Amino acid sequence: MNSYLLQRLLQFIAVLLGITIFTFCLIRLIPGDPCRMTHGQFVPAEAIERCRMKYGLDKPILQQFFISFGGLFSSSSIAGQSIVYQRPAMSVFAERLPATLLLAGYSCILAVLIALVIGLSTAVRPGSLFDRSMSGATAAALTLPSFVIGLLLIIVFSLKLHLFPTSGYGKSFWDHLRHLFLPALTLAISNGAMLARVLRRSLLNVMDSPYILTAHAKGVPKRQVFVHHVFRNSLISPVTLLGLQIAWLCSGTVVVETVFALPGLGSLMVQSVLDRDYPVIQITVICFAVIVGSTSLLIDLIYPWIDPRVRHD
Amino acid sequence: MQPLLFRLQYVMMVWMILITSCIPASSVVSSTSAANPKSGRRLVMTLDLKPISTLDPVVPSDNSAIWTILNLYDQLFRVAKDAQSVEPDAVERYEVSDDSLTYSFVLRDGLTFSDGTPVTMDDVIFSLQRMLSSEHWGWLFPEDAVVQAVDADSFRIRLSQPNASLINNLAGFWSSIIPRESFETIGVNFWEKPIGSGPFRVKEWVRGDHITLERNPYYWGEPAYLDEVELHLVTDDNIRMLKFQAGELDVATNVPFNQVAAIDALDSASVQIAPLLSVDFIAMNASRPPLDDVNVRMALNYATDKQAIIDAVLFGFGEQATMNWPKMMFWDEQSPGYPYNLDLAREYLRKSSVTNGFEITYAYRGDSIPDAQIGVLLQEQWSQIGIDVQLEPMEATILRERLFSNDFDLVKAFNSSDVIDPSQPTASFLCRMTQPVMGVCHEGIEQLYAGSETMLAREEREAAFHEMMRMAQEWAIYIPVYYAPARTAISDRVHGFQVLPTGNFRLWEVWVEN
Amino acid sequence: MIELGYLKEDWAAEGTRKVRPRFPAALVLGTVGVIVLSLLFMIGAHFLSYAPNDQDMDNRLQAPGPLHWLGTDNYGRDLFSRLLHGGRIDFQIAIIATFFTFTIGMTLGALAGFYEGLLDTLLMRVVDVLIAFPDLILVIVIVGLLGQDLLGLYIALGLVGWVPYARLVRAEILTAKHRDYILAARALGCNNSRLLWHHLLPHSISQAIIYATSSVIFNILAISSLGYLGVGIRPPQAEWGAMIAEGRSFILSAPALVLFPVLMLTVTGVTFSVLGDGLAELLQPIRKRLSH
Repeated sequence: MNSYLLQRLLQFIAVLLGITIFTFCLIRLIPGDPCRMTHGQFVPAEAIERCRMKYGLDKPILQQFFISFGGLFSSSSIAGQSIVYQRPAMSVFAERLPATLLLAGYSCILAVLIALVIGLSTAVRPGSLFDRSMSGATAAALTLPSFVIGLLLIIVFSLKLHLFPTSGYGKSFWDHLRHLFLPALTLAISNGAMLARVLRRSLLNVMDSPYILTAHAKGVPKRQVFVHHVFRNSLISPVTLLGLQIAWLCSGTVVVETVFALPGLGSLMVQSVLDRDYPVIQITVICFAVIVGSTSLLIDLIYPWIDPRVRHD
Repeated sequence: MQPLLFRLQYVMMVWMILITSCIPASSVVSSTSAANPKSGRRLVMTLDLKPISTLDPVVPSDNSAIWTILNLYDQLFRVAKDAQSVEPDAVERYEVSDDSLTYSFVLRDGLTFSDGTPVTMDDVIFSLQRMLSSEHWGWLFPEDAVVQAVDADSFRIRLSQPNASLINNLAGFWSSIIPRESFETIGVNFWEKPIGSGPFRVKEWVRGDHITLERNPYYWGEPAYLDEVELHLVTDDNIRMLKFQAGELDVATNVPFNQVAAIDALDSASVQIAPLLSVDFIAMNASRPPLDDVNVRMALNYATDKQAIIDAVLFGFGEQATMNWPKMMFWDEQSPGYPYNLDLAREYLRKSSVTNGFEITYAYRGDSIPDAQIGVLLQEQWSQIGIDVQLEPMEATILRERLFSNDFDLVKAFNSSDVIDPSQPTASFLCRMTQPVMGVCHEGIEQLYAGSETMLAREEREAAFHEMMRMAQEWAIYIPVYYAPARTAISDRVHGFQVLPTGNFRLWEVWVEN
Repeated sequence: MIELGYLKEDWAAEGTRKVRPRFPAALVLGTVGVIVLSLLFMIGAHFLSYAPNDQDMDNRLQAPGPLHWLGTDNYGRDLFSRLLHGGRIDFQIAIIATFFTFTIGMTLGALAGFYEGLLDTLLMRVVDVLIAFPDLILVIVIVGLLGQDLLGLYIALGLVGWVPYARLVRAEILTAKHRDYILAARALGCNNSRLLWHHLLPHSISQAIIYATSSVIFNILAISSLGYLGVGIRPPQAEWGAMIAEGRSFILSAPALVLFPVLMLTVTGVTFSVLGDGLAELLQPIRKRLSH
């Protein structure tokens, strides 16, 4: 196991390096640079040229790569400074992190709850009317654009029922939880519906296995069969999907962040790409890679616990 | 007895005079309503649609930053509410030497930073030198301008040539005064909670979410009525309007045109329609056939039904643009513009080098709904003269890149001015802009503009600008479309909120009742 | 080659009542639904009285009525016509994009899960690199490079879309290859290739199929999100995602502009879901227990 971990860690570093190079190349491929957009329209060409020289954008591409690589480690250098916000890129990233992490965690918990409730209740009565209608309902939930779900939730729970604030992030920790409930629910509805479907399918597949019938035949109590054998063994796919969803929750939530006016990483990411704020893009992608890589590693480590036949050696 | 009575009356008269002269002007005059302004309370409103980039006054070009900066610091001058002149702000008065090369300014008494320290001449000189050497805004001023302190209250700006736009251009957010010592001590973190001498100071700033301003107790002028202002970032149009209707916002900026009527009809609110120093237009690449033929450009101009566009896109809230200048100082009311006339358009096409119709691409910012709508309407309108318009949405950055590398047919663009002087938007006709963008130059306008910069007499300068506008009219490298106003939803409890034509608002004049 | 596996044999008929029709009801329903919708979009579009891009500024934002069955949008264009024409494009996008990402992802995931070792490591790290990019960013970049027409969007969606399938299939194969029937098949001399494609894969793709039927809609919604950010399909092309993005600013004053495309999305999405459920059932039928 230790050598497996070591291997994975080494690979992880390789992946981070790969991502740095990939990001650098990709972002510089698209036309446009940050100097043009951070200055007004009428600014003379010389001023824009001076900006380009200041940020090293006129240097050969390889040199630029090393400069930007160095910028990752020293946030006070020019290469580590956000061109749009004129502050260290790391701190621009760091102040958006809490909102995203809180939203992601919150939404994950809600999604898992939804998935468990719907997935379990439909798997124990397959083919019934309840099962069929839940199938339809989850399928329908997945087709709704997130801003429609968000808007509906705001109109009903915020404006009509006054249960939650309309938008924004809030001031204290408990305030954050109140403000984040509706956005977390918006995301959890789609994610939870997907998880529920995958969980249901998994449970049904496992329930068919010979060893389950053997357990029943041996007289093991139904509940024990279900919890210890059926449920645990059907977690592979849902857990895999959850891992993917966690990655999405950290980066792909720009629409929800815009609708609910949350200062999160999704909108920072999109805006920095649109602004060509290279240092911020670099830092954000690297940090994401760390989050995603750790999640991926964690999931791979959980597999053997769920299904002992999957072994890493 | 009589002498005593007489003395009493005398005393009472003196007393009355003393009392009335001590009443602050604000409780006697209120320009917007009959009720008396009340001190205290909080105002909750929204900023523009992007987060504040930085509060360093010599850097930003985003409205959120600019509007906040104008309330946090003192500038040398500030734009009058009708944007037809500038008012002294930190400067009390100024004079110009006979040769027009030296401007002498006298600083106002009582300027104090929000931490209680007084504004010194050193701070003023430091701030102005930062402004002049700023890569973002320094270009507005002559390169060889020299700023010198004369004594503790006055300073000079020396030029090598007369400059007609100097005073106007000093009335911008970039001439904000910052404390040199604090800035140099704290370093780059100074901008987290900057210290200014304006009517408000920063209480709390949660980036990407909101910034809270509180009244600066040391402000030299009338203290602001409001205790606090919370400026939120709510990008989504629908959410912003819903929040306003729910009472969570006292003021909501950028009301979508299609909701103006509905929100104005609400009992407790109204929508303020305020003219802006801006113009929406379409740039034509005058070096690319068939647009290199002026007849074609004229035809496109006359074939554009601007009123129909205003009705469809702005729901009627706008004015047809006659030329590519915002409605500001020296705007020529007599300018004919290009009124919609399909027959005239066809005639121009006949005169031109084009025999049949042609295909042309209209590039625009994909995330701008009005720009997209203009394109769709133009497709319809110009198809009547045989022109096939292809719409090409793209990212703002790529669009600007294509614009400045002469790689486009038509680009939807936008001119606005942060100052009252027309020199900023006139730049769109100068060689330094038209050369890289379109590969063309207009000698006449170029020379006239250079000359106008030294014309200090108003009538002379006005005549020069009118001539420039006439030349631009004939040159026809742009299609001016409309002047769109600012739409701000304001709760009836809020008084004194006015959007200036430069887009900003004076929070220190705003008060909230109840 | 003796066929093992649950598709053909019933190894424990005693004590359970199977419900395993040749073709599950869901499959039939789903297929019929998809065929009906396809016909509607392909053929129905010809019988309309209004072209999807014809503007009529005097009749903008009309409510549904006899002249315009679903009303008009802010240019006076007939909504019903735009929905049907949009359906054509969206069906295309949905099926093509999903099919390619599914096939690529399934193949790569199966190979990685079965053979493990270097192939698995390489693939999973590539997946890590790709996932580290928010899908939206990658799509914006690719669209910025290739332009905003359909081809660019396909490539962009394809490049990011195969990852979930690879992951899901790999996960299933990792566990499935240890099952008894596989060991038995191996003992009987089955070679690796047949083992993988003939035995393992059919039982391991049910999850991927479930996911595929929902991702059909994700692709269309992705185009709508891109439209909101300014990098979607060029106007005036009628397309549900674009209609939703454009109609968003009217959602409070004229909600029909958004509601009808969303309704179409839901109907299409549920139809595909039902189809997917049916396919999954065909591959791995469920049993109705007597005493549960």
